[in-house]
Amino acid sequence: MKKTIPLIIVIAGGIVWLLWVFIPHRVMADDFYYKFYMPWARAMAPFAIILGVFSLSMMHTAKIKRRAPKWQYSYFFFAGFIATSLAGFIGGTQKGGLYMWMFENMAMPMSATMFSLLAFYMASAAYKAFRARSAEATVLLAAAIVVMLAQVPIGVKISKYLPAISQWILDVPNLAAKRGIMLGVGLGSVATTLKIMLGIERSYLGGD
Amino acid sequence: MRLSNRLLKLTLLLAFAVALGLSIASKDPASGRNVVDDLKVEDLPSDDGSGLIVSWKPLHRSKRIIEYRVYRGVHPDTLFFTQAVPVNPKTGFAGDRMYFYDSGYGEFIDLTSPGKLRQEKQQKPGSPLYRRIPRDMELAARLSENFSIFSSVDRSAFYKKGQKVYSADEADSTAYAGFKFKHQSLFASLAPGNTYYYSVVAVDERSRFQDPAPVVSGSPVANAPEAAAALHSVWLSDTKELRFEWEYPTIKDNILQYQIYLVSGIGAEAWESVKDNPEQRSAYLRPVTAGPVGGGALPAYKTVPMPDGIPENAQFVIELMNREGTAFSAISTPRMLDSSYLPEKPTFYVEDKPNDKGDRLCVIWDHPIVFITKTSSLDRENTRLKVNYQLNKTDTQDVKNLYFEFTKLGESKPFATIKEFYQDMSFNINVPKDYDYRKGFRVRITMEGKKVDRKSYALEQELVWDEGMMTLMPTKELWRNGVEVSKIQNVVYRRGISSPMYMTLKNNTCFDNNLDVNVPYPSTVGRGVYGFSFVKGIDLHTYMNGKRFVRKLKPGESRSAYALVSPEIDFTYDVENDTRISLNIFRDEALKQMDESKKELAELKGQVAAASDSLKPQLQAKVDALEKQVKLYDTNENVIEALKRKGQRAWTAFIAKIREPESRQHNYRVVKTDTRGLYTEGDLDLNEKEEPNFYFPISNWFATDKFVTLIAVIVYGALVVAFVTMAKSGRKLYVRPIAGLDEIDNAVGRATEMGRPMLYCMGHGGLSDVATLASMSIISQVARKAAEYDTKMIVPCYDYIVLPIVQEIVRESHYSVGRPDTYDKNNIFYLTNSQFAYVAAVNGIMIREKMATNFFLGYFSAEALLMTETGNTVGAVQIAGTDSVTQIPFFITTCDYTLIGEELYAAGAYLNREPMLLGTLKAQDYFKIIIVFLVLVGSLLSSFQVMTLLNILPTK
Repeated sequence: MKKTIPLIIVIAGGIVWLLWVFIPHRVMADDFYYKFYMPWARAMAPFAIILGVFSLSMMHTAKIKRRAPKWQYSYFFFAGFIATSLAGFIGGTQKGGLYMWMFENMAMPMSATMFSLLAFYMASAAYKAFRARSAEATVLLAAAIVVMLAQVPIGVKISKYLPAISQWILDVPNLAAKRGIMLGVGLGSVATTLKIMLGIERSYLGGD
Repeated sequence: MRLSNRLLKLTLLLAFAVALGLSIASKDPASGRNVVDDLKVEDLPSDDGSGLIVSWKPLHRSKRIIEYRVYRGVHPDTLFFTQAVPVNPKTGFAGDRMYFYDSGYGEFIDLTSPGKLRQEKQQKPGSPLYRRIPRDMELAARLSENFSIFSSVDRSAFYKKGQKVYSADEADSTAYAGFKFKHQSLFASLAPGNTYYYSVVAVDERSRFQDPAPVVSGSPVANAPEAAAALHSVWLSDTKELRFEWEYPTIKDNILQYQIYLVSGIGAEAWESVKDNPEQRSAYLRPVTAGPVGGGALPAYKTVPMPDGIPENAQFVIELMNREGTAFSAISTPRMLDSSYLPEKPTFYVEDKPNDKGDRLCVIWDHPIVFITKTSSLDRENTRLKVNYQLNKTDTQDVKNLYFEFTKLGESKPFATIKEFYQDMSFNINVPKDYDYRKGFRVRITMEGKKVDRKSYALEQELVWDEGMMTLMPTKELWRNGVEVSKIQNVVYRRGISSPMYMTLKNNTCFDNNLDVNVPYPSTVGRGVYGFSFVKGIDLHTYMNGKRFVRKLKPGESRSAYALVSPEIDFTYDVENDTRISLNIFRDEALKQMDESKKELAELKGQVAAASDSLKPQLQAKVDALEKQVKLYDTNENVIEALKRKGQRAWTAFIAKIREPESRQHNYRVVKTDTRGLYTEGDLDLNEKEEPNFYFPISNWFATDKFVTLIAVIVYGALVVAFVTMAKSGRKLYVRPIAGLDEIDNAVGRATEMGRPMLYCMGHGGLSDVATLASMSIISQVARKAAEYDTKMIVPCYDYIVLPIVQEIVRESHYSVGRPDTYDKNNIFYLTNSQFAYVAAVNGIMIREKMATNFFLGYFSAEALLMTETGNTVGAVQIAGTDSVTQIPFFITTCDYTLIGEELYAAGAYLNREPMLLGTLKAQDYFKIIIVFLVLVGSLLSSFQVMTLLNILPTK
């Protein structure tokens, strides 16, 4: 019973969603989606986030208790969590409050810092990818040089055909490979969905 | 933990810098200044007395103002937030003054209003500014004395939650429908003659409220309308008709009627000086025609037979009227034309939009319209041009081929003909040698398709050099079958089932051939608010029509507070008697009203018999009207059916069932006009019995455009079932080796040997992402191996809904290999759903725990490279897999093994070797063969311009 009921719910839900794709009727578009599904989805999220917060708190508590490596950092979690929660619950989350101030002046700059690191990591990854160690890597290197040069003004100075070649590389071999992967991904998605709907795939229920 | 002296100093310095930075950042130096200057309130001219214009001088852009908040009240010491006017803080406001038009119905009280009276943020003590009007019925009642209030009640609540409420006024026995705040949104409009007070506060981009502007006041006044923007007249000599068409002024909602006059004996200039003087102007005017305006919604044209004795140099003016006065237009001198100048008579039809939930119709008046939108040169020598075009057609109009014939200007033989059998909205043409393409081209466009052919329908355009765009661009002209139609508009009108008047729906250009009409399902019921009722102590208070009534609450009466609206609602339209029937939403009240009407009729009949001859006709008219109404109660089928409903719920449900579909039925009409008096009306859309056709959209049970998709799903499902059956019967199914999955054992073994943990990252997908579901099937296998080898596996989750499921999967895996003791719930935890915060945390974990093996399996975005590069630096073996095409190259570059796209989905089956799962893998492969076959056949057929296969396959 522990797995049968969730399985029935999943199969029934899957069938309803499948019907939702093919039936544009008001019963599905308004009554099911907006009046039934959306309120349920909204109601479920707060419970799950409470679970998430408990999980994170327990993990850090255990770390502090066990004096695990770098356990001091766990205090930062609690400090940040408490400060943000209090700012939000007491002062509100609207503009002008401490919560939004913290978000705009602390969380956003830190996120932007992480994102900006991506440029350096990309350079490092490009270096690894473009080392001509094999025939395939050499082709990759040559294609990359053409595409990169075509993006800058000097590329046109070198050869007026460079932008056209670059566009061809992007539009033909690159797009063909991309579409091949996407086709596989699309079919794989349908297969996974069917496996779940038919009850063949049950790992999401915990174990197989 | 010991800190060296130097490190301690550095830490203290850093802490000081942070504290200083925070204190500077949170300081509020700008508050208390930046008051907006010169705040003024003026009456909105030409309106019905419900509008005021609030204006002020905006602050300089250096103040970084993001919005100006307008506060309004009926007393200078209590102003409520009304609306915010947003401003770009970087550019500021360009003009000298900013304007806020407080007119029409604006937000008053709704669910987002505060629960109680709250002062505005960052205000000094004694400030008159408050947030929005709170959900306080007493306050709403008091304010209602200065506003007209309108309630938009939720549709379901209107029929189910309305309470029968009686006024505190003992003399008023009417049962009103009462609604609580939670069931409705209230809107308010200014009332003429009242005084309203305003202030404006500037808010900067750091959300700092500046000081409020000094409170100013103003009173709206009802005004006469503005004069018509223009009157156009045409004298058709052959049909002896005068045709008038006019343009309304900007504010037209309050205009009720128009009258057109013949003006004689005065010139245009002299008319301007006398037109505002009733005594002077009347000498020159002779009425020609008049009619209703309906707030500008009714047709703005009129045809009249040429009156006798009108000179050929006749001039005309139009007078627009509202309750407050009139306004005359400038003089219009008719164009002397004949009916050959009239636009072609529009033929139109209405059809339901396919594959929708039943809220759209389409009015179609022409074949598909194709026109060139722009061109661009493809080379420096300008020998090739890329031509972009647009095809306007409905879902049901079928165009097989389009033909574009390009001709040099001044020549008649085309130099190029392009056949567009696949309409991708662009094509290339070669410019003829020795021709300066800047001279331009003429393009003739024809088409083949359902109901249209190349001979009967052609469109033409000219392409001329545009210096600004540095390319050939189409001119504004468009020729349809040789007639220039660019100035012709197609105006669509419609009328409801209970109204004889057509209302303007939309003016369409000659480039449109159809109009999508949205006919929404009713979600609210709008009613004017009569009053408010609430209980204080043991007294019931009612505010109505500017009066206040108080009485003791009667036993059984509700203590709740209500906004009171009329319980009468349009029920149905009786076609035979041309009468609209209204019913009370309270069944018992409706029955009572019917009985009272019958009694009143009997009394009136008695009075008629006894009345004197002079009073008889008046009373008889009353009797006839009431008799007609009473008769409907016994003869109208819908009323008879309604009366069979016994309970209140059944009563309101039946009312809704009848009135809502009726309110969505319309009859349409199309008029072609040059907007200057030359117009042709399309025939009335009537059925065989000469009755109007009323259309309503149909809710579809099957999306016919997804028929092929359904077949594909069925075929695919059949393949899955076939291969699963085959696998169950014991037949061996070959699956090609996937290196990344074969390596999982070694990766787990490596971590065990090194005595270091593993990291399993499921990406930032949620439970609705297929990649996350696929990752769940892999984690159960990896967790089982980890449990067998007693290796720690850390799973930081991005999604809090995924967390408990993963915990359960890993726990089950430990139990299944008999190692429940090694399961630690704290190794699977929620981190954050902020993308880069998640990266920072995962990278920190990787470095601190010195991971031996990293798994990145799921849906990833920009964070992928940040994590895998960090994993590389700690020397971990990395196995990655994602269905995100943009991240696969980064994984291939930085990880040891990568599952590309669908391999991720196959991983569960591959590792498990479960026959049923393998069966789905094989089905997937065979379906791919079918797709490849279709791609090849489709490419081949399209090469030969056979588009059948391409057209039947879905494009999205």
